[in-house]
Amino acid sequence: MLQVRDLSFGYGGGVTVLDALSMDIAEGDVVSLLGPSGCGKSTILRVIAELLEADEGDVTWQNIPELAFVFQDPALMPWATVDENVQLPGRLKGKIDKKAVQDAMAAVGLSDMGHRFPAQLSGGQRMRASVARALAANPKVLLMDEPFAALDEILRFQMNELLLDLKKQRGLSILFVTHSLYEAAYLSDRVLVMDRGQIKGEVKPDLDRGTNAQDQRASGAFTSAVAAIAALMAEGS
Amino acid sequence: MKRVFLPIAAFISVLVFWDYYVTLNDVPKFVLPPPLSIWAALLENVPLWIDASGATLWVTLQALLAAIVSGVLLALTFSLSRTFEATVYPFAVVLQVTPVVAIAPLVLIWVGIDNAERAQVIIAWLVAFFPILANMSAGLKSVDANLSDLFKLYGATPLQRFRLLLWPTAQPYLLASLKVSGGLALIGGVVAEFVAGSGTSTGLAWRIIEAGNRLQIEKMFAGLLLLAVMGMLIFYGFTLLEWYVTRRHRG
Repeated sequence: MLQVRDLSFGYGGGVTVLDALSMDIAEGDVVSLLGPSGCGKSTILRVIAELLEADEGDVTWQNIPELAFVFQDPALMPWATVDENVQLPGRLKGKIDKKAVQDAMAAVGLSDMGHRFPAQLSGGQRMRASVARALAANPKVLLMDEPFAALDEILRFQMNELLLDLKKQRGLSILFVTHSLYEAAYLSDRVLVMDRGQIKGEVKPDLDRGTNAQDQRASGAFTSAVAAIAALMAEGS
Repeated sequence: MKRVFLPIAAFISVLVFWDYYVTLNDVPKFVLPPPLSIWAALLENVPLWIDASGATLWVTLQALLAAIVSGVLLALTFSLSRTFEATVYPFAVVLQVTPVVAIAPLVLIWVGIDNAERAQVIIAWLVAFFPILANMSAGLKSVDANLSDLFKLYGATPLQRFRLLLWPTAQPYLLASLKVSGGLALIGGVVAEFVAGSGTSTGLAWRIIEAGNRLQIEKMFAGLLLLAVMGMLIFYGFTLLEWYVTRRHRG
């Protein structure tokens, strides 16, 4: 679905962030990008979303899909209600799809919170609203930049379940940046470990998605995936 | 309740002490008149004070409106071009730091001695303009970078970007600056009237000068009292507006 070839990006003063990076994403996959701070994880998402322009290389889509972006910070408009925030993609595109907005609010469990302002929501609810805004754009691909990093562990687990449900219901492809190898191992079909602007290696957690969350997290496959990611991260550092 | 009651109680205490002090010490009226004679001076000629207050308020409001329009437009232009901002901003700073009393005679010469009212508005505008420009510029720069990226991702037009992102983000900054600039416009208007004269309508500043020349100190105090009340009304009026407009930000 997405092909990234020899992508390079740098800031002025000779700082290289992406160094001839290549990767492929298949439709319906959850792919996590993991690596130390400054390795280029967030930059690659922004280049794919065309928020940044690469110095060299290509980003090629099989069919250009509808994209949505979720940031670490919920980035809600504080002066607007949750409803108005979720309607933002439609408003900017000139047509608000009311059903998509309602479905998105229902999917994240905020149907009865639409009239509230962001300041009246908890941290978890704000992040749900942010995910709902992304879903309201009817995306095929979700780009997520450490979306749950600021949440406590319990909320993070809930959001992880929500994300897997959404992926299943909507057939989303998700490119997910995280600092947590546990989160990456649990959520992903593939985990790409990055270092200094390149993909260092890949781990494919083989969890049994038919079992419940607790069993998956306690399974040998999960432990092996975490160990393999940790080993890959430690390699050469 | 305390926030209303305490200042009123303090104010009444000061008045009582003031009255007691001047009566007990036989302080001459031309040095410090008792509060009741100031009140009497105010009631003695209500139409005169209404006219004078109206004239000063009119100058203040015109200057403030001009400051809002020019400050907001210039800040918007700054946000579109950093080069333009770097070129023009120092001139705005020069206008701000140069004492208005020193500029006032020059303004009066330029607009003509017959156009004292216009000179007053320009001088008051000079004082009120900078806080609006500075705050609005800061407000426009404080746009959430992620939200800004979202607007880009969803293909927002420049007008949508302004209406839905820049303007609401900068609004609290603008409203905060109005509380400062409202008072400054009044001060500027009074200083201008001191320097440029009263023109066709006589404002409070001119009434104060007039009363001072005649040693009618209670009238001077009456004029000062009206200025203070006007300043308070402007400040709390904008505070109320700020509270109302930004209530959504607070939830």
